[in-house]
Amino acid sequence: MAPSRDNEFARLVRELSSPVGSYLGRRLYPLSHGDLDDLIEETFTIIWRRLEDVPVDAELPWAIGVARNVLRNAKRAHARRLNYEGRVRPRGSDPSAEENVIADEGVRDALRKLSEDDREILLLHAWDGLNADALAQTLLITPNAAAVRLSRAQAKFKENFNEVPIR
Amino acid sequence: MSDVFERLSAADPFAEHAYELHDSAAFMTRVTKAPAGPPLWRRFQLGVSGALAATTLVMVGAIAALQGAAPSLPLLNFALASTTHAYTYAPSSTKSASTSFTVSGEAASMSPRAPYRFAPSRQLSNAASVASAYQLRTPGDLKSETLRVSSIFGVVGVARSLAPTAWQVSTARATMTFALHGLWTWRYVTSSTPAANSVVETVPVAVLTQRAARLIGDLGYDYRAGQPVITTGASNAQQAFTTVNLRFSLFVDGTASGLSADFTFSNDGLLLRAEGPAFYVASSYLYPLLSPVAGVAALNAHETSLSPGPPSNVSMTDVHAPRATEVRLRTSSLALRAYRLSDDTFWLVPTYTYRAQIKGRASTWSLLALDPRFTKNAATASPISP
Repeated sequence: MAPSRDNEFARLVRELSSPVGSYLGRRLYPLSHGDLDDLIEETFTIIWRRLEDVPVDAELPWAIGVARNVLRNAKRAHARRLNYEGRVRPRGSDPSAEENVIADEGVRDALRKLSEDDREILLLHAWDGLNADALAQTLLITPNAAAVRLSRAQAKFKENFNEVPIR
Repeated sequence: MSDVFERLSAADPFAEHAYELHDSAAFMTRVTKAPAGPPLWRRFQLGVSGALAATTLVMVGAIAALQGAAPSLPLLNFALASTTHAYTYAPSSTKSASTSFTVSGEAASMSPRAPYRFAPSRQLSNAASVASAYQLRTPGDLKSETLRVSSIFGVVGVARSLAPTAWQVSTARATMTFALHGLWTWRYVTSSTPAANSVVETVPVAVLTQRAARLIGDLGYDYRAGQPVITTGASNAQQAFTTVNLRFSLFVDGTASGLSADFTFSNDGLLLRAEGPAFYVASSYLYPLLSPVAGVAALNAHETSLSPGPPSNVSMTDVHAPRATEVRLRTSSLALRAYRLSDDTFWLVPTYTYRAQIKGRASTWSLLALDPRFTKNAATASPISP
């Protein structure tokens, strides 16, 4: 293990742990806060293993892409565990992870009407600060497609927002 | 409400207090010094396996009550255009005579084979138990999935649709195809040529195994790779290098799925080919099973259905029916097999595999293990071949 590799990883931990941790924390539901540290550790374990693959000009979106996969896997495993324990709820009855942490009811209602894909790209932009190029890196789509999807999601969100009563 | 997007940004629960690591030095040490082990989601799965074991114990105890109740589990309809039968015959991999044994029903019009008459050995259990069947989910956006899988193998390019059920990313160096071959499947092929044996250093098989296992892990699908079966390909005049083939059996929640991921490396470490299934588990259901002994009776019922009586215009004295071959089934094991159902959903369903010796030759038969009340058209069921 060369010292430079250690240093490089330390820099990534310093610069990325906060945005990646925030990304995971916003979308944690239905996992518990006790799982957050494990998820972050798992994300950075993959980053450590694949340090040579981290794109120089897109470290944060790449890391969020890793965290996204880690979170999805953990949620699937969690859902299966609930299945086994017999606490299966009807599909579609759960709020999204993001809705669960939003206090503003107007925003929550407008987000609820979005598709999962629209909600994801909108919040990656609004909360995680990813622009079209970064969204493309995270979602593994082209920058043009990212820009189009973001624009469409923003328009739908605005439309939904105007439909719900002001609170 | 002057600006909806300002309100959206303000709704960020981490807007004021971004996440902070408590102790970054300890965190660094844990991550960089940790031995390679199962990632978090697999630790979740281990928890699931524990829960499954506990649930199974409870379910076994309650099986009688469950069987008395109206079935609320999904009815699995295996109706498909299929020419095969509810069980398949798998010749042993041992190199012994195979010509006298064929898949049931094949070539029946030319030379009807002797029917089997199965009997259970004492080792087979009479106890009915339960096991999970898994409804599979394939990635929704096939183009994105093709790009994701391609990037894991270092193939970065534009995804092209070859057909409604096939996408491909191709570069000068390699091609990744994501297509429906029974199950949705990823398939990597390099166009690079490995160096000849004489000019390269051989990469240890352990290193190749680690690389392949890491790729499987990075794919993130809902299966776990077991230890690989390793074979080596011989060089020949056209192929001046040796190949190392790794076949990883894939497990879902600790149970063999009958599926595999295959990797072929040149001995200098170039990945030549790789292929495996692509699926996530959407739902799992605990189903009551036939007991292994009851399964033997089901096998006999299938044999009877395959051996109808003589045509009505033929008298019994004209028919030289072959004598039944007595088969004592010695052991049975439970594993999962992949099926595509009539509603085009994919499932991993528990099956029994029975083993027996016929004239000194190891033979196996497989049978859907589910209680027949939860299946429909099981007689046409044919598992998806890996």
